Amino acid sequence: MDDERIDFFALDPKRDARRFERMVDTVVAGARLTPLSPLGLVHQLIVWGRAAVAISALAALTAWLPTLVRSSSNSGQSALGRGSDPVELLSSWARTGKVPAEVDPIEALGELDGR
Amino acid sequence: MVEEDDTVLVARARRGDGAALETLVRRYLRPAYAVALSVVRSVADAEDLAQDALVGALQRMDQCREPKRFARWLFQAVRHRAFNHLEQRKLRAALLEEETRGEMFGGDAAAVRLRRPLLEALEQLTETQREVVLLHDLEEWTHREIAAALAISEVMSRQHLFVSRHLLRQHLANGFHQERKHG
Repeated sequence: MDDERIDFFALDPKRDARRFERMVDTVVAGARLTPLSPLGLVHQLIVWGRAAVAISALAALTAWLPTLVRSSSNSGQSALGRGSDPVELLSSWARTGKVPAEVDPIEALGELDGR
Repeated sequence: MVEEDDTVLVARARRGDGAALETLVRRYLRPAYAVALSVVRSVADAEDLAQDALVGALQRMDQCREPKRFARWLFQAVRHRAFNHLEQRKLRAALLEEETRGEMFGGDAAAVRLRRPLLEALEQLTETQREVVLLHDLEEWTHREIAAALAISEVMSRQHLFVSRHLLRQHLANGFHQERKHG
């Protein structure tokens, strides 16, 4: 077995202790030039910001979904179901003399407007 | 255990603890130099690259996702810088330039004379072999530490060390004999 170390003394930067200390000081000073804590804070804010946006989006979706479901079921219960011909419905009210609900003419005319 | 210490040190340094920062620099400046030297094979360039890479890594410590693997993360940064450096400058030109630099080690002529055969011998090895032998024989890291930092197995680290030492000794012995022959 080749158990003996290779002597790398000539390549060792610690060979000159003073010079190595200057290298250490240079690196430490360089690393301190950009304060670490504010960097960490900014990074954390970005991380938290992403999480906050995701949570807000989820909350908005949760709040909006029931409203959407309710409105679609209401329109399904109305006398003017989607796909009905508004002109025909208004004619039938005129013919039969049946008084429509207050909402129905508005919805029918709305459909005429292309809404 | 180095890994546990690194986790604590990185956490403290992230909070702006100057002592932790300095401990990390003292612990990793020479290993970073060893890795840079493995790539560029130039002492002066390796020293510059190690310092630059360490400063950069310490300034971006928040990007180190696994503080217990700080060494591996740092070495990747060192290699990245070293390869970029090689692309910018031709290796041969860099080596020639270094020979003329007398300021190394305070102009110690003996060290400069000894350095050249060592660098030439290192040329015979692969990059990973160079990293292993330098981290083990220069930095005195254990195979466990080397394996963790270089993402290789301990067995592979031992094999690399064995082969590297054998090749280095062979090359250095040949060089010695040739030097004696030529007077």
